[in-house]
Amino acid sequence: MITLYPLYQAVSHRSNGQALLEEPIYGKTNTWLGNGYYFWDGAIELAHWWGKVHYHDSYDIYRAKAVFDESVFFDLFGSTSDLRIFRGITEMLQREFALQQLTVSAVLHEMRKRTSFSCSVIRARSEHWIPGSVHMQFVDYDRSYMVMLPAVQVCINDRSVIFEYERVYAKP
Amino acid sequence: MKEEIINEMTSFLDTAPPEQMREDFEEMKSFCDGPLASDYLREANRLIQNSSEHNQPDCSFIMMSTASLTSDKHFVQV
Repeated sequence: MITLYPLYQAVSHRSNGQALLEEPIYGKTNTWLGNGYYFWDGAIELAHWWGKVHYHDSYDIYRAKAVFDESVFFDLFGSTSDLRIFRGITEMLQREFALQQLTVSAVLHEMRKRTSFSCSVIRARSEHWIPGSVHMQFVDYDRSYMVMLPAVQVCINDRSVIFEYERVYAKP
Repeated sequence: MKEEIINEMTSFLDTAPPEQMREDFEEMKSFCDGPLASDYLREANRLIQNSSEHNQPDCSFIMMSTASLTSDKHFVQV
């Protein structure tokens, strides 16, 4: 079994009179990894950033834990073999359809439609530049660097693997 | 197990009839023309306006928005 914790989700702020959310928000529009519950993996700073950008500072943050079987996990962030599969499919589709620029969502959609791919948990890192994130050089004579706050997202399309969904930050 | 996906996709692409390929092409095209760029543009405009009102540019956020515009929406390095 795999456990991802902590996961963070920024949501639109509920004022004091409103009840806390009991269910995570399910994303259905502009969903680059497919429809599902979207969380930031491991760093609350990412949820704060998203709250500022997407909810214009009026947001709350919820934390959750996900526990699931390895077989349902497609990990484009931490698994080089999953990434190799994704790259292989992408190259195949690129050759066949000659689209100028394929998107991640298009490739995943085609995988779901035309193969037995049915992973309900997908993790990937988007290449956002997060304010406050440090790019630390490997060594001072080379431009290679490590990103200290990678924007890693998890899309979960199975409610039953999400636990302990609770608010950890409310707009002051 | 997951490696099977590559074989399945190869098999589909090798044997799919033209109408299925056309259907998939149209679907994939629609996934590649999303509205995200306009979202970023709207956000960049809001931040620029906000900055000029307070005479205090929030450069980090503006950089984020324009970077997202020029790099064409979200992307993941594969």
